[in-house]
Amino acid sequence: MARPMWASGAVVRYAVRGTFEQAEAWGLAASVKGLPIPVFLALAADDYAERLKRRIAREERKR
Amino acid sequence: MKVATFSVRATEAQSIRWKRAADAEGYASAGSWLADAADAYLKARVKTGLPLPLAWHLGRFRVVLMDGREIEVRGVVSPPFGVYQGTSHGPDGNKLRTLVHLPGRKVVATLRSSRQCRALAAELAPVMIRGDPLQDPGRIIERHQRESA
Repeated sequence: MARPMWASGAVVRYAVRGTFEQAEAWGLAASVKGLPIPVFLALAADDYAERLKRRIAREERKR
Repeated sequence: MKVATFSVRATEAQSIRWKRAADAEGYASAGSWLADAADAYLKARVKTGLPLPLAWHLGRFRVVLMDGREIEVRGVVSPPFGVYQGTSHGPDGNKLRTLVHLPGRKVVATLRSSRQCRALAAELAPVMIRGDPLQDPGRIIERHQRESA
């Protein structure tokens, strides 16, 4: 049986809207990774949120 | 303006992380932040010149070896690529790993580690999927083989 691509215990749903241009870019990136677009969006958001957290921590250390 | 809508599922922990990030960047909802976060992720990848890493999982696939034999091997798979332990002569217990293009069952390259094979696959994927005319797959493979030697 195929593995589910969502993290187990996924409970919250978000509607993400994008222009057709954005959706095309997400679709290309998702196809390169072999993932459906919503799963790619979740991965990208996790990565970006982690970088944002590190950036905020760095800025706070500087102050 | 026409828009496309995607339903993204998250765990509670992910949802909390995303809401925090959306708050920090002044977004009213995590949903609207998600779209911009995906764009920012792609922009950062382009800026650093890093290829998108592929998603790999364990699996079996067929490969045509140097002597023309076709065998099934075990390894990691991220279509259209697979990586197994061994060389183009067949699987073995050595450290060398071989990258295979699954549709043609052809060996792409044998490199020193699985990490190097995955990096090569990540760089080849957009070229092979999109048929990027600016990039020559042969040159990319040669560069990775040089760096691996």
